[in-house]
Amino acid sequence: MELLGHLAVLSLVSVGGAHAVLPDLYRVVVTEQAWLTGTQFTTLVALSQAAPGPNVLVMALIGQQIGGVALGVAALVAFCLPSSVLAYLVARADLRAAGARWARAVKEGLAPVTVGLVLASGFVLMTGTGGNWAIHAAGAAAAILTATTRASPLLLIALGAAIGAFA
Amino acid sequence: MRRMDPRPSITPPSGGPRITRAQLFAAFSGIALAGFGGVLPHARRMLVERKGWLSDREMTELLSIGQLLPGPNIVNVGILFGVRRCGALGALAAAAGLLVAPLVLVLVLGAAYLQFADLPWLKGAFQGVGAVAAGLILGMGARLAHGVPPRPAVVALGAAAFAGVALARVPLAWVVLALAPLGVWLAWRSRA
Repeated sequence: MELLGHLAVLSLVSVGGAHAVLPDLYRVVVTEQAWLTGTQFTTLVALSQAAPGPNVLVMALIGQQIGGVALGVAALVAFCLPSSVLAYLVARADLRAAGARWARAVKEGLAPVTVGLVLASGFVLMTGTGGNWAIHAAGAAAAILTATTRASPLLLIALGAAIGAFA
Repeated sequence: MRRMDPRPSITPPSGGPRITRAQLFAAFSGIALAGFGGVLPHARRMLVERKGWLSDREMTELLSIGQLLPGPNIVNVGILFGVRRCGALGALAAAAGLLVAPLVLVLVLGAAYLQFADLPWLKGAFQGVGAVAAGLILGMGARLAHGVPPRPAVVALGAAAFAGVALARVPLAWVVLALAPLGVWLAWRSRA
């Protein structure tokens, strides 16, 4: 229940999508409540990246690990519903009437916040992953390859598993 | 041609092609299942190139509103598009299309993980996978940063968001409620 309430609040402040709220979720789920370990949490993030579908499905995985399938489904709904209602209301309103200047100011104003939040997410997950230097080097290499090439995330995750297994 | 449908879809004000809820559900399921590590590029491919439901410019506008709103970006896109073409139930059809099939898949994966998570020889593999997942997100953040002009106020705002969440571990709600209005205000003023 606590998890669902927290997710519903995060839904409305998730500027930058599902990835931006992961550090806050990590804080609650791993650091404060100890429902999952850091490695479990980051593995679930990886699983959601390796599976087809939107990133937001990580919420279902986290809920499922904590309290079974029902909590998994409820966690996904709790995170999607508030923002979806907002999107519905926005779609009903005529946005063009609100003016292009406002829309551009919101877009430009939120962009740097989004960047900071997404980078924070990667940082928190990286520090939360256990393992030796080789594992963290694999993570750093994945970051560089993702930033500079069109490397397949699936391939990188598979390589990470191999390096982790043998390192 | 759609006469047989007992619940015909609403013709959009812009005069685009008629779409039923079943078509919406199917198209957004296709988008969701095609996407590994981010589905937004597949939305353009499906809605603009394959279905011809939107022009390139309309798609860009839809994406930018979907990304502005809080919440999962692709779900926002589905809801915005669904409402405009098929009303509230259209929004539901698009969101369900995006989430239901991948949800089933991911829950199966999660159940498998519950079975194997405690095997000691898999521990290293899971750590490696987790580190790469973190790296993927860092790389995406770096890509996003590329598109933002490096003005001092902008960099300070991004750094503050990073420091608040990653270093000070302040609840996200506070960080966003403090920085988002500030960012919008600065952007508004710089255009005055």
